[in-house]
Amino acid sequence: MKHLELLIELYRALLKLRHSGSFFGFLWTLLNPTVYILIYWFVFSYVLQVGSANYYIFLITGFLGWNFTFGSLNLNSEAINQSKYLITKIAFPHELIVISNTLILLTDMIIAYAAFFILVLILSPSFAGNFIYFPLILIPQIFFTLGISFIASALSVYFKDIPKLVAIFGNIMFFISPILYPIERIPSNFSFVVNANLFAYILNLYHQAIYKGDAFNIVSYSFVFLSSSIIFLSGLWVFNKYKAKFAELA
Amino acid sequence: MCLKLINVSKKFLKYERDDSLKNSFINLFNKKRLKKEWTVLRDISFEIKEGERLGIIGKNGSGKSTLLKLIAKIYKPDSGKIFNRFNRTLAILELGAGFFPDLTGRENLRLNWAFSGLSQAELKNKFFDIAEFAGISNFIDTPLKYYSSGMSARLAFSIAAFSDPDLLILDEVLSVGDAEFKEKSLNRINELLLQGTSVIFVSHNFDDIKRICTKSIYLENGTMKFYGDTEEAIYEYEKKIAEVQINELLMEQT
Repeated sequence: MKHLELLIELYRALLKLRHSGSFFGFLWTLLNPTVYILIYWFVFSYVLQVGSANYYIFLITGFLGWNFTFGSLNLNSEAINQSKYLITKIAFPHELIVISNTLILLTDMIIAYAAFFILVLILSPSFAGNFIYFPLILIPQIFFTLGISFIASALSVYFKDIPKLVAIFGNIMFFISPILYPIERIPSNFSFVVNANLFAYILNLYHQAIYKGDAFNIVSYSFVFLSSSIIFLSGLWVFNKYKAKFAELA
Repeated sequence: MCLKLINVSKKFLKYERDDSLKNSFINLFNKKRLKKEWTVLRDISFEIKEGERLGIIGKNGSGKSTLLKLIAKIYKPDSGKIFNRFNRTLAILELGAGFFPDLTGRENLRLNWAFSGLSQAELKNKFFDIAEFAGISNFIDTPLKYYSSGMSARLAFSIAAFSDPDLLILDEVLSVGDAEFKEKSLNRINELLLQGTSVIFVSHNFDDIKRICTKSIYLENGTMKFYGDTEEAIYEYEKKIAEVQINELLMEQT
């Protein structure tokens, strides 16, 4: 209970600190993804001309999903080392740092999705109903994101190179997951890249529900839910195993 | 309610600090490097009962802060046991630890209160008293970066003083702030003492130690050289300092 109150305070503080002092402030939550999405949309729809009909829905769905998970991973990979001044002076559950960072990126995602929904409502209203599956798919994605964030944040205390590796990993994942192009485009002899990529399965769920408007596939959803839960529990386990030394090493 | 330490020891590894991936690969094949341990505290045992006030004195690097961090559960002991049966333990290892300069006084107060594991409902009742005691009532919604260092120190101390701990752990905190604030905070500590709060207090100021502590520990290189009456502990420590000084003088002459 008292941990929940601390989590709320920490979340509020970090949320405020995130954009404090910047001119656009909270607007960056939307400005940042908008700029990237517009560039990718321009390049893929107009320059390369590979985008299908309503490509923007496909692109935004994937991009926002990636932004949440890998934004959180990036932030958390440095979080423990950067919170050194807290960890060495105050005893509190260090998990809360990771959770509040993830909640901040989650807030960004939800705000962005609200804007995305309005956009779809205006441009392609027939797709708007598909958004009902968004919260459902978000749940396993949160588990997955927390899990890998716990692992990266704990290990980064021991290996200071982790944040740099995580940044590269995030970029690789951006190009081998269904964000810019559908996963079927990957040649079949490279299919192992897709099959081993749990994150691609998560994005596929979003695409199937929101972009394709397919009937909800309970089998692939259950698979993603279960795997993400395992990642989450593994992350918690790793974090717990290493957290006792954070105050000495961070 | 009591705090009990039984044969507590703490070691640090010397080369663990800058572990890049490269270094850890090297260490993987060279176990010896990792084994360069350094014992910060050796076999510390003592007990604090309700209402007792323990002083800890010793040179810089004698392990005082490490001992406090072990009691505050920031570090884990490598061996030995720490039993803390106090309901509410509050450790202030640095005034203003956990303060964010870009947040306002109010926001920092809320956050710091939560860091101490206390409920916001309780804070509501005490909010004005804390701001008043710290003398920052008019600046409560000003970002902390515009506070003088004295103001933020006063806020930090007030938060601690009003959280009604059963065991208060203080590390040198009274050495900051001006004389007036110091007097005010010592008075507040005295009030807490009258309520029966137990205290663990680290300081280089023997007058403060004598004023507050009923018992004291004299630490030297991580071991307890003396544990008992405060006056005696200070006498032992001063004797040691005098010995070292005499030896230095003798060395110079020869």
